[in-house]
Amino acid sequence: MRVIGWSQNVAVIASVLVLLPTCEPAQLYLANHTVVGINAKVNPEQGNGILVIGYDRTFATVIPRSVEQQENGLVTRDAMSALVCSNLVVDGITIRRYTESLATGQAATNFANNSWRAEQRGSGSQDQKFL
Amino acid sequence: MSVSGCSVNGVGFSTSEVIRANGAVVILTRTLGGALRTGPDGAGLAIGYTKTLAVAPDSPAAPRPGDYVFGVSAADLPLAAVIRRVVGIDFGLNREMVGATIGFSEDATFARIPSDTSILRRLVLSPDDPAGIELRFCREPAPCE
Repeated sequence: MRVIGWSQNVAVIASVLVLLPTCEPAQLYLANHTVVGINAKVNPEQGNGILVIGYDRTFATVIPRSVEQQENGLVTRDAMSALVCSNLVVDGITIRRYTESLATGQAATNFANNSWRAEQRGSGSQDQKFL
Repeated sequence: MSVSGCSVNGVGFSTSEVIRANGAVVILTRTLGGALRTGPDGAGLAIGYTKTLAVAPDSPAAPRPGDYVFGVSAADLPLAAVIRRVVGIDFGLNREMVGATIGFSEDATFARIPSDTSILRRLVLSPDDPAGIELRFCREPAPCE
């Protein structure tokens, strides 16, 4: 049996910690994967692996968790802003139709702010009517 | 009679059909035999029957509508969505997948947008009706249609 010494363990852990940030996704990613048969794979971006024998369908959305942005002259980091409404129609094992409305970044923030303001105006007028 | 061979990024022993859709150009490629993909996002090798539907924004750089006997490459186009069906063996060696599939597989990428991009997009994707595919998008601060 081969035994790894503590110094090698520390080196392995340190290298994993160094490499982890490089696995951080830098793109918004929407995908669907279907398999009928045998599928063995590892996802380097998400850091997981899977073995499928038979039928499997996966719909995944990956949103970057750390995006550099300017706020009041300061550079900050936050999750990527994204608004997505999607509809996937599947018949049997194949895709029949996919519909998507998507906004990212400042466009998503503006859309959310405008929707919130419109909602506030709507509820305000309803309150006035109620009063 | 079907002839099998090899193709690289859809060019080789492939047939492609380029269809103009609503705001998009759709490239439908069929390959029988080996299909090598070299792009960083979908690099791999499929052996068997491969059918790929690629949707790109309509632009002067897109190939002209028509049939292409030896296929057409979509590797240099800014693709909005890709659906790839493989019957056979599919090896993947890219950012999303390192592994292999035996049997039927369908890989669909609906969006791949860099984290610092501000964009509004509307996509209607119907693989069985390529001419009915719709793609509308704008990048701020350009006004949206």
